[in-house]
Amino acid sequence: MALVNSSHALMMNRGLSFESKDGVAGIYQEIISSKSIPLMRLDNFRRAGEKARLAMIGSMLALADAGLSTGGNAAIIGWGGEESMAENRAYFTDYAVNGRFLGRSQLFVGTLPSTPLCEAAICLNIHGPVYYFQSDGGLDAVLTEAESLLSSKSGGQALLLGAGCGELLALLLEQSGKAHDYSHSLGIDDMSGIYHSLKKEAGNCSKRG
Amino acid sequence: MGNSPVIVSADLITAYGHGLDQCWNGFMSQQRPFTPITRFPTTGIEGVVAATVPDSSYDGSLSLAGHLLGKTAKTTLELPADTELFLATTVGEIDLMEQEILLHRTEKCAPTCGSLLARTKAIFDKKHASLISAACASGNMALARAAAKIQAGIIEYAIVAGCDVVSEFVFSGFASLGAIDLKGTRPYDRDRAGLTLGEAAGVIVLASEDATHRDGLPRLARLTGWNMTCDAVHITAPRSDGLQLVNAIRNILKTSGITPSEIGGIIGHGTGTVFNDSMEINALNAVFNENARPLFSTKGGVGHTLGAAGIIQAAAAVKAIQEMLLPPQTGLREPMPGAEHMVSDQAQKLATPKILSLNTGFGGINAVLLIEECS
Repeated sequence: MALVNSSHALMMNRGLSFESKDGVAGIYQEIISSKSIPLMRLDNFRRAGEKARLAMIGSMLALADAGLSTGGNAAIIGWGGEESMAENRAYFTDYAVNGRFLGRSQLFVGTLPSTPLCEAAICLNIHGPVYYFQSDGGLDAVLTEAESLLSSKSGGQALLLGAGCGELLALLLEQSGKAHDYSHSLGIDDMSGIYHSLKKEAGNCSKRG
Repeated sequence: MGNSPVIVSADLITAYGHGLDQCWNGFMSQQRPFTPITRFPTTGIEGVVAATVPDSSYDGSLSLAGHLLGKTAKTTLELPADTELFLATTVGEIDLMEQEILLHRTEKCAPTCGSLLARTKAIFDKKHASLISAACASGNMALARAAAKIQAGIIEYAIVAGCDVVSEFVFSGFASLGAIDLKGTRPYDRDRAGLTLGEAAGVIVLASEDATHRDGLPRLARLTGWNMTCDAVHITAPRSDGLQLVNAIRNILKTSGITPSEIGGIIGHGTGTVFNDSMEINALNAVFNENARPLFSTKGGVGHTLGAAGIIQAAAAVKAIQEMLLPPQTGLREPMPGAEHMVSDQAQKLATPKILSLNTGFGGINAVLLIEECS
């Protein structure tokens, strides 16, 4: 489990944290230079948008938090309710103010809710199902969705990437909804509790920074 | 197969008009209902065509997607209140965001897919609804997730709705990528030059085997297999050899216990772009080798309808199984290399009532379904 925002990244199981005043790119540099987790080559990091960068780093840290260096055939499910609204507005505003002549392709490719998830899959060489999910139930609903997906796949893992308010929560689940490589089993209620405490911790970090 | 979800109804609104039969007859006639875009300026590429829905009743008081889905809701079977709704879309109510920006409105719009989800939930009057957005594979992905939940006994009924509309947002984006064929798409053709945008709303209702018997519902076809993979190669281009699409197809065949030669036909993604169609043909040749199966793309007729594409394909598969044939390929002049024994400008008979439906999308997402006759 990992939580990332523009100034901090936290790994739940290993208790590691990274800080930078240079945004998500700075956090990435901190992670690389620390050599404390398996190095994953995020080759597309520089060209990716902010949300995709968060997805790449969050996925990498969640895998590393579980002692893994690759996602294999894990599923990636995005959630959080923001979709790609900021990217949609950025693309179409740019198109409109420039005379409605031709859009910028590099802005257009970021306008799907599934784009950050696919960017993470590309960087980490993950080949499972990828989709963005939303329903009324928040984190509980996406955990239930992931559990159902893993049951129908007869095993494997799922990375859940929840984005909102400039931060991203990355959870790695195994079949039956248990978090990978934890000393005790976590149910949905536990996950919700951890999520809220991590958010609180991240908020405190931001204030300290 | 005993627990496989059953397709109990299918309805479509496409450029051919309202209804599955209307759409099927359009495919069979090889008519291309493409018309020049007049909904928004296409500066620099005047005369470019799209497959828009001929609908004079739309007054602009709500999103076009909401309007089209409302029409399909009127034809949906009476279903229990706890029926789960799955919505497949890529940009949802993007026309509302366009208006906000172009008219300099100050109020902030809601996210476009989520707002369409809320509207669709109200239109169909259902308590439980989920959005599944997986680029142009959204339709098959949503059908797969609904089917899996029925097979697992989590739900008994599912409404799977898909909708996207021809918008300035999407058109300008695909144009910026050089992906639009100005004169109209020709899937799997040697001289294919890109896609034609289309718009549609489609609804498939799935039910458990038990529910169809208990409630006396029509049994149109059975959704017996699904598999999803990701190329993880490039954010817009597919992996050229189609390896992950091959894996998805082989996984379905293996799980279903059938051989490639038992597949009767394939409804491909077939956008008409150079790269997509090439990848698909490479993948199909890798799986089927000398046992080439009949292949058809709906997009030669109804255009690329994005989130609705998989829904249209599943509905077309129902009709193809009933008629035991695939329609002639709309827009085809000369098959592209490698597809000579797959596509045809004549209707092709199915050797078996088993159809694969393929979706692929940006980011390398692949989603494949196996649809069979209901015995």
